Amino acid sequence: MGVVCVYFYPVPEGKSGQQVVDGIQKQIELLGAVKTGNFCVDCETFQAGSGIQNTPQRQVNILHSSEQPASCFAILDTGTCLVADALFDGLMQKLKHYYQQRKGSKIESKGQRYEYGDFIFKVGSVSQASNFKGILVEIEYCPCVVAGDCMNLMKEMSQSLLGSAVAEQQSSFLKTKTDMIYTPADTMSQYLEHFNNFKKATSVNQAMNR
Amino acid sequence: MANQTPNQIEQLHKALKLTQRLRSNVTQVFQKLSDGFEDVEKKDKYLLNDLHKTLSSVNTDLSDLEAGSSTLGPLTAASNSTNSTLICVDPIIDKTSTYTQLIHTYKWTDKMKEQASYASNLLKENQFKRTPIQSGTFTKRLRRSQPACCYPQSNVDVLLNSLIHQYRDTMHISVVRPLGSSAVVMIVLGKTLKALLVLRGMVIEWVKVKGYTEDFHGEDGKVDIWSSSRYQVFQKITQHVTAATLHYYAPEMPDIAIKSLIIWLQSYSTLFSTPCQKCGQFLQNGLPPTWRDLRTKKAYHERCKLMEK
Amino acid sequence: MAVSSVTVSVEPVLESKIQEVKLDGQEIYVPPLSMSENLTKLAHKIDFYKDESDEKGKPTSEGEKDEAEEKVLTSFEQPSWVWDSVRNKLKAAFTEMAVLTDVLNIIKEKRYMVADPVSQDQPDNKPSVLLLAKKRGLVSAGSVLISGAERLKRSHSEHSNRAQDDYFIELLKIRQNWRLKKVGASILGDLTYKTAGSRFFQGGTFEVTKIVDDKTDTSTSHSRGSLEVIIPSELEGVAYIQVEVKSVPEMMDLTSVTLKMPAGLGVIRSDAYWQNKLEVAQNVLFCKELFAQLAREAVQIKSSTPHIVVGNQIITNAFPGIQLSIVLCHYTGKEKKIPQAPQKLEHNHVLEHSLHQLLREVHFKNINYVAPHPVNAMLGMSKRRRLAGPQGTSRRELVEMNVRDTLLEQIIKQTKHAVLRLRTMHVLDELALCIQDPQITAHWSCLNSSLECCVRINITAYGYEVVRSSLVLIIEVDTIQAILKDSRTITLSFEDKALQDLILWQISQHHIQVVQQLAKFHAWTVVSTNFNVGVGDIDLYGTAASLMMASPKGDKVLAFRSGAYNKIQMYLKEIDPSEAVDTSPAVTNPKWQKIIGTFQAVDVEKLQGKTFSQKVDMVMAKLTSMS
Repeated sequence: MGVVCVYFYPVPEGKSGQQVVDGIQKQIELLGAVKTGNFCVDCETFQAGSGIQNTPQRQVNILHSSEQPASCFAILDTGTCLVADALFDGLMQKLKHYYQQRKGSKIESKGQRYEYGDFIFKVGSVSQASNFKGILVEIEYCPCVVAGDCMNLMKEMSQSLLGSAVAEQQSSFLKTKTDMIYTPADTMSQYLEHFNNFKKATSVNQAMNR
Repeated sequence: MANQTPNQIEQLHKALKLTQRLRSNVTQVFQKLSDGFEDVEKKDKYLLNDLHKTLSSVNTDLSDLEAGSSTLGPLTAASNSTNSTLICVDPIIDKTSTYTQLIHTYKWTDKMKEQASYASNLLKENQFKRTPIQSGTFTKRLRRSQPACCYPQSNVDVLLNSLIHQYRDTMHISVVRPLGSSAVVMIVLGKTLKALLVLRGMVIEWVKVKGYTEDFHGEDGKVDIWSSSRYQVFQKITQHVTAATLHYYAPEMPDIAIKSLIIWLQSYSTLFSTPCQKCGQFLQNGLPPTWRDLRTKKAYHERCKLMEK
Repeated sequence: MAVSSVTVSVEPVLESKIQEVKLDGQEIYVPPLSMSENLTKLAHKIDFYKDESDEKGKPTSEGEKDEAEEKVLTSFEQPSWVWDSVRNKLKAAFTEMAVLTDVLNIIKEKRYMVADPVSQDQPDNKPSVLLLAKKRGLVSAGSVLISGAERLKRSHSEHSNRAQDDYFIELLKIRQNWRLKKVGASILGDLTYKTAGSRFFQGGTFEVTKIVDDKTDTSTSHSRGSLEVIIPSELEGVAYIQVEVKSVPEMMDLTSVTLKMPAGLGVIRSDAYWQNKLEVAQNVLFCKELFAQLAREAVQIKSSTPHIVVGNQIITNAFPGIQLSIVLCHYTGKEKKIPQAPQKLEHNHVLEHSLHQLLREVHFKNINYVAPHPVNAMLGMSKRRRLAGPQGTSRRELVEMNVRDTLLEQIIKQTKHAVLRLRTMHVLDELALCIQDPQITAHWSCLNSSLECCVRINITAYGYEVVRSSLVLIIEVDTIQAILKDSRTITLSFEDKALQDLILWQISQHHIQVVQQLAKFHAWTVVSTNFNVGVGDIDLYGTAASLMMASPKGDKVLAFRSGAYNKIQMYLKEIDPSEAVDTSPAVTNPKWQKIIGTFQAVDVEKLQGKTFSQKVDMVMAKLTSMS
C-alpha cells in the first residue's frame, strides 16, 4: 500500500496504441524491472433508477483492481469512496431494481505488471467494449504512505521513464491529499478520473463527428 | 627494654651498679672471713671493726638497692613474645648467632621490598599503554561499578522516559518489556518509519526498521522482533542503523550513546523528500538516499557515501 | 339458572390408615379394601331387621300387603339414606359431649358438684416382673443393634478384600484421565489426540478389563491393581524420534546412507500400571504421526535438495556435507535380541523438542479457530484476513498471510541455523585463541530465535583500546550477514573460511587504524592512508590497507602495508639532511629534499614489544627526535 500516480500517456499521431505500449515496456525493462504478471482495473457504472424526474441521477461506480483482489471499491459521483470486501458485488446485484447498470459502461485498463525494487509499474491499455481508448501508466512506490513526501521522487522516476511532459501532469485529486495518508481508494479515484476523461473525450468526438 | 624511658634506664643502671657493689662487698666479707685472722688477740678490735664496717656497708648497699628497685616499674614482658625473642633470652647467645642473623635478614628483606616498589613505580611509567583510563588507585573508576549491559531497570526507565518526553513532538516512543528485563523500545517517526530497538541494560543489541504501514506484532498479538520489512528501503535502513549502533557505542557513557542514536534517527524523517547531497538525485537503483551521515546528518545514497569517503 | 362451570366433587380421603408401627420404624398400612370388601362393609351398615321391626310395631297378621308394602317401602327407603346411622351416632355423641361440658362446668364452680379422685388400689410393684420386662425389652433392642452392626462389619470386611469395589475405584481414576465409553458389554477408551486437533488416520482404541484375581498372592495383585488395559498391537512397545545432525564426506551420495537399527530400549513391563502403559502407547502414536507427516511432506514437496525416505528414516542434506537424519525408533520387544554393543545415541534434543512443538502447533491450529465463528461465512480466517477487503490489502500482503511452511521445511531451517551458529562460534573461538595480538571479543546477543541470532565482534589492541573495530554478524538460516562499521554489508555463505577471511581482513584494517591513532599521540603527520591499495601483490582476500606517515621534523617516514593473509610490512626511510645531494638550481625550496631516499624494510618480529601496536609505539618514540 504505497503512493500511486496514474499518468495518462497520450498516443502520438501515426502510432498505434500497441506500439506505444511496447515502447514503454521496453523502457521499463531497460531500467531493470522484472515482469510479474498481468493486472486489470475495471469500472462499472450503475445509475439510480429515478422515479422522480427532477432529481439528478445518482451514479455509483464500482471498481475492481487485481492489486487488491479481496476488495471492491464503490465511488459515488460526489467523490465519496467506499472500500468493501469483494462480496459487495453480490450486494449490488441484489439492488438491481434500484441501481441499474448502464449498458456499455464497463471500462477497463489491462496490461503488464512490473516490479523494480520497491516500485511497481503497470502499463495498461484502456478499452471500453473492446474499443481502444488510451494508455494509462501507473507507478506505485510502496514504502511511502504520505503523498506529499515522495512527490519529487515520483516525478524523477516518471521523468526517466515517460518523459518530462507526461511527468508534469498531476492529478488534481492528489493535490488535495498531500499530507494525509494515502489509501487504495485514492488510486481508484485517480483511475475513475481518467476513465471519465476518456468517456468525455469519446462523447465529444462523437458530437464533433456528427 | 628499648621501650623504657631514659629515666628508667638511668634507674636501671643505678640499680645494676648497686647490685654490683653489693656483690663485691659481700665477696669481700667472705674473702676476709675465709682468709682468717693471724693475730686474733692483738688485732681483735681492729678485726672486728673491719668486719663491722664491711657488714654495715653491705647493709647500706642492700637498703639502697631495695629503695632503688622499688622505683623501677615492672618490665613489660609481653612486648615481643614471638619465638625470635625467646631465642635472645637464651643465655648461650654467644654460641649461636641465630637471633642476630634473623634480625639482619629481616632488615634486608624490608629494604629490598621498599626498593622494589620504587623500581616498579619507575618502570610503570614506561609501559606502552595508552588506554584513557588510568589504573591507579587515585582515579575513581566510575564505570567499574556498573557495566553498561547490566544497568538496573529503573535507570533504563528513567532515561527512556526522559527521551519520550523530549521527543514527543517528532517521534512517538513506547517501551514494553515482553522479553524479560530487556527493554523493547518502539519508535514511530512521523509517518515515515517504525523502528524497534532491543536494549540489554543500556546497550542496544538488536535493531529492526519497518515501514509505517507494517506492524511489529505477530498474528497472535505478541511483539515480533525477528521478521524483516517487506520493502528494500527499510531493509537497507536496518543495516545502516545497525552500523550506527556500532558507531554510537560508549560503554562509559551509555546514555549519551543512546541519545546520539535517537538524534541521528530523527534525521530520517525526511527519508523520501530529500535528495542526495552528492549527486542531487532522489533515486539511485530505485532507492532514495538511505544513509544519514553520522556527524553532519546529511542524506546520501549508499554508493555516494562510499565515494564521499 | 346458575351456569354450571365448576364441578365440585366430594370424595373420601383415600389415604390408607396406619395399622401398626413396628419397633424398627416400619409402618404397616391397612390394605385398602377391595371392591367386594367395600360392598360388604357398606352392606353391614344396613340393618335390615332393625328397620323392619321399628317401622311397624303391629302384628304382622293385619295384612300381608302391608308387609309387602312396608318391605317395598323399607327396601325403597334403605338405599336413599345410608348416612342415617352416622347422623344418629353423631347426634348421640354431640348430646353426650354437651352433657359432659355441663357437668364439667358445674364441677368447676364447686358449688353443687365436686370431683373427687377415686382411690384405687396401688398395683403390686413386683420387681421381678419389672425386671423381666425390662430384660426382655433390652434383649430385643440389643438384638436389633447387633444385627445392624453385623451387617456393617460384613460390608466393611468385604470392601478391603473384594476386587469388585477396587475395580470401580480404579475405573473412576481411569475415567478422570482418559476418555472411556461403554460399547455393549466392554469398555473402550481413546488414546488418540483427536480432541486436541490431530487428523491422523490411525486409531488408538484400548479396552479396559477387569482382572480376575486367581492368585492368593496379595503382593503382586496390589501392584497391578484390579484393572487391565489392552492396547492395540500396532501401538505396543516404546517409540521415540531421534534427530541427528552429522557431517559426512561431501562426495557421499545420499542414496548410500547407512541405515541404523534402533538400539535396544527397555520395553514396558506387561504388568506395569495402566497409566504408564497408556502414556507410552500414546507417545508411540504421537511419534508415528509425526514421522508420517514428515515422510509425506518429504515425498510430496519439491525442494531444491532431495529428501530420501527409507523405512523409518528420513535423510536430507541441510548443507553440502551436513546431513540431517530423522529416525523413528519403535521397539516392540518382539524383535530378536541382536547382541550388539550399545550404540551411543546422538540425539539432538533441541531439534527433537522442536519437532514435537511444531506438531502440537499444527494440532492447535486445526482446532482453534480465531473468533468469531460465523455460521454463514468461512471459518478460520484471522482478523487481519477478514479486514483485508475493507482495508484494501494488496496482493503481496495476502500472499504473505497465507504462506505457511511445512513441518519438514521448518525443521530443516532450524537445523541449518543451528549448524551455522555452531560453526560461527567455533570459528570465532578458534580465531580468538590463535590470534593474540589484537584481541577478538564476541558479544552474543541475549535474545535469539530458532532462525536468527546476532553477534557483535570487537577487535581491540591491548593497551590501545581507544581504537576499536567492530562488526555485527547476523546469522540467518542459510547465510550470515556481516555489517561493518561503515554500513557495508557482506553476505557470507555457510563456509567457515569466508568468515575467517572476513575477520582476518578486518584485523588487518584495524592495524592500520591503530597506527593512525598512534600518529596522533606522537604528533606525526599522516601523509596518506588507503584502505583499498591497488598496488603490490594481490591479497588472497579483500584489499590491503596502507599508511604512510612522517615524523614531526620530516626526516623519518614510516610506511605500512597490511593485508588479510600477509604479515604486516613496515618500511622506514631516513632522510639525512646533511647528505647534500647535488641539487640543481631548479630546486628552490628545501622541502623537495624530503622526497628523496629509499625505503628499507623493517623486520617487525625483531622489534621490541609484545604486540604490534606496542612495537610501533616504541619505534615512533625512538625515531622522534626532539632537537
